[in-house]
Amino acid sequence: MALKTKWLLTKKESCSCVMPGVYRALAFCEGAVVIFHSPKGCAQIASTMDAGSQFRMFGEGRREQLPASPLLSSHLREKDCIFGGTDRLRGVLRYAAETYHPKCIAVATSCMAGVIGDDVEAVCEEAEAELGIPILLSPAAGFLGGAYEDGVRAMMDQIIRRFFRPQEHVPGRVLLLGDQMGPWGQYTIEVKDMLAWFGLDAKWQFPGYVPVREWEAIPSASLGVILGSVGQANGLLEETAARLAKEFGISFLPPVYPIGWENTRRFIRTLAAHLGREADGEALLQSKEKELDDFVGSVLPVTEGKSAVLGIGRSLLRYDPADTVQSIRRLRMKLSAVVLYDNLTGDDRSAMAKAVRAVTAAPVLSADEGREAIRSSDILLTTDELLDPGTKQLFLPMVALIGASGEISLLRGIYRLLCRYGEKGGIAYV
Amino acid sequence: MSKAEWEAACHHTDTCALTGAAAFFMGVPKSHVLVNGPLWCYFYALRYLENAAGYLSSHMTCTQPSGTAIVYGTEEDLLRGFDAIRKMDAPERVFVENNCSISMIGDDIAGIAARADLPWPVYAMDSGGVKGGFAGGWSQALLRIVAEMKPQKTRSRAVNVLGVTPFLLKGREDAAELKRLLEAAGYEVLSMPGAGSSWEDILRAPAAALNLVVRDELGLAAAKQMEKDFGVPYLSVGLPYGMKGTERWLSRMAEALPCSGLPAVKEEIERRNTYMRHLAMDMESLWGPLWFDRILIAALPSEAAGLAEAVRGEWADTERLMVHLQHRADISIPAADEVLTVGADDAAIGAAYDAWQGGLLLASAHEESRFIRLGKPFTPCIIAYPATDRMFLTDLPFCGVRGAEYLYERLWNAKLLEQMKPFRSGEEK
Repeated sequence: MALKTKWLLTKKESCSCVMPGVYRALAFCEGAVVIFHSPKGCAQIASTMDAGSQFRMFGEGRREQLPASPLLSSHLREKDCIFGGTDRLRGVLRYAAETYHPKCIAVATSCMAGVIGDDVEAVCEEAEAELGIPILLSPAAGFLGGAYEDGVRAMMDQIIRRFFRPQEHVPGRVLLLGDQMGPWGQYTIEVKDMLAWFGLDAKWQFPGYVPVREWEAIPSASLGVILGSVGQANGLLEETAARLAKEFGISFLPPVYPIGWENTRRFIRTLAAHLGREADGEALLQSKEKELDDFVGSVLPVTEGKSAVLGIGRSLLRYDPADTVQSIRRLRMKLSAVVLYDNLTGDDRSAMAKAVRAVTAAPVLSADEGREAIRSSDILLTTDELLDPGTKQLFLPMVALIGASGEISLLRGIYRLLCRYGEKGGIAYV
Repeated sequence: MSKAEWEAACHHTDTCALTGAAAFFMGVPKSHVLVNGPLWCYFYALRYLENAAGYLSSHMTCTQPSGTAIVYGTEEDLLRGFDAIRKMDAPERVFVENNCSISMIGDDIAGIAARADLPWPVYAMDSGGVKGGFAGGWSQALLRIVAEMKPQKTRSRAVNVLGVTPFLLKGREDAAELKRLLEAAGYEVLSMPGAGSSWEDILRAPAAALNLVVRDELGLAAAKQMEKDFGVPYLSVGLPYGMKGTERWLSRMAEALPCSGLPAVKEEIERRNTYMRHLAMDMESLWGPLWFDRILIAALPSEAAGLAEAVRGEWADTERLMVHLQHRADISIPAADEVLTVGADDAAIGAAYDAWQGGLLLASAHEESRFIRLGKPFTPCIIAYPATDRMFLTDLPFCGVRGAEYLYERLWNAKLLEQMKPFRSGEEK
């Protein structure tokens, strides 16, 4: 029987939409209102995503600390498909201005409005003149000609262009660039912790988490740190960092992202070198390494000598196998095979196979070939949930875990799964 | 345009019609749903439906049209989608749902399917966000199937139950309880379209002597259509909550279509209610009354109306009971001090949230999320999706006799958890 992953589709087109990208880019910016020029259901989807991310934080024992921005919809209806929806957009823009007195409004256009051919740009220009409130607009419509990142890109571009002002840099003031589940997510907390070691203050996280009234002061940051991971979002963040460096003189840390322990080491050393404080960097490394070594020492009696298979169905843009291979080595386990699932196709599959071969000599197998290897291994570390309850699986998270605490979370997940009794199988999430 | 149209999405829990239509079709065994639209819309519908049924992705797929489909049409995407279904599933029928933007292209889906020489019939409908919310999609999907029905000879005790779906929280369990009660009362339940009835049983629906509409927003349009097409009368009766509420519900049924088993069901209700009251007295003597300063119910109209009567009329006491309807409805709820409708009274709903000082929240995790963000205290009892911070696994329903026991138990446990919290966390004075 062939290996079956939970998600059976092979992705042909982008599976995202610009509108949630627009919302997320302003989701916790006090003074901002986001409008979807769309049917009501589209706003409900973004609102559900938002609540989902809130509960994910609860699951990690953390909570949001900023109020969420209002999200409105122009509630496009069937008759608007015939007569156009621009009057409804005008209506909701006025309502937003009167009700929330925002300092900025962002408008995202749905695929529906794109097909109708509403001149959203003209409406926004008129409304801006009438209401005296800056209106930011994402040019792509829904899934037509854009994806999530394009929504974020459009918002960042316009905020920088229209709000940022050149100014003196404040020593020790840091701008974090990127989302990564916000200021209350593991990524940002860990980075802030490392920055604090050097006495740096991560004052802002852009976009998404800076009050509108503070946007113009953002270029006062003397240092920028990109919260990158793997994937196309890095391109967007790195382009933006280059722009902020060029236009406002913010000095950005070179793009080294602390995903997995090896990258965390590089991150700390890069930061220390950037600040000219190598000795402090080594001290931080030692402290983090001790934390990690203490943990590994406590779980080795269970993990040492165990076999693992790595199963991959994500493209290299979304997942780098090097870190997982390194984590397996750290626990003194044997990587017996790497299985590439059937949903990884074409160039993505070839690129992943090459990346895997660069970091391990373990055989690279197809899903069919890999079935027996999975069955006979102690654990499967996988990017896709398999519909096989007989296999102990650890799901490799989509949102990157970083720093020593992230590495410990992953290692703890492997350890606990190996403690799982008998043939219980099942899947564990980190 | 009314200002209320623009209120913030934070009070809205409704999905778009694409999800509602998929929920109906996925509730008909041996069906496959092909979403003709982007993966984004598909995944959100699928993730919603997977709250109630796992691993639907082998029976619900997506054509993933590119942006150019708006110009050139989706024929190639559809053909690829049909091909994928042949390889991965063995359905008896396929339902193609266009999302809102693809609906506007006007592809001849029936013609494309006919030319593809497929081994199963294909039924198509437009179901994007402009068709409404979950209820809009579900009710139009049911109407789409009513269009396939033919007149039948009437069966004197047969009823259809319209408006039940396993894709609302406890929907499958509620359907089973309704069927159990109706059969115990002497009715023949001919079909529950979209709630597990087979295609054949659904097509036999015109043989019913009465259509029982338990959620107007889902089933009323089809009931009216069936009355017009096949002469089947209908009764809009809502859902039965609480012991007395269930008894009243059955009595209304019996007035419309007499039955032989009503005394036996009433005897069951009396017996189980007696035990419930006995336990309640014991609990109250130790822990005090089941009292909440305020009670807020946020739910679909049938649930909200039935629960309001049961909560205040049978189970708990409060000074003030408020209802936030998740769908517009022409409905009277005497037990409620205030009834507001999401989408029409959002400003008042926002004010009610701001004024909240604590009490019982019968709602979804969405309302919980709002209260948490506002820093408001509450005692939660989840009764609707999303149910992010609760596990629901057992086959206990919310409605009917078994549902009355289950919800009463949950209300008590919610109170007790709250009352014991300071002692567990060492915060007691």
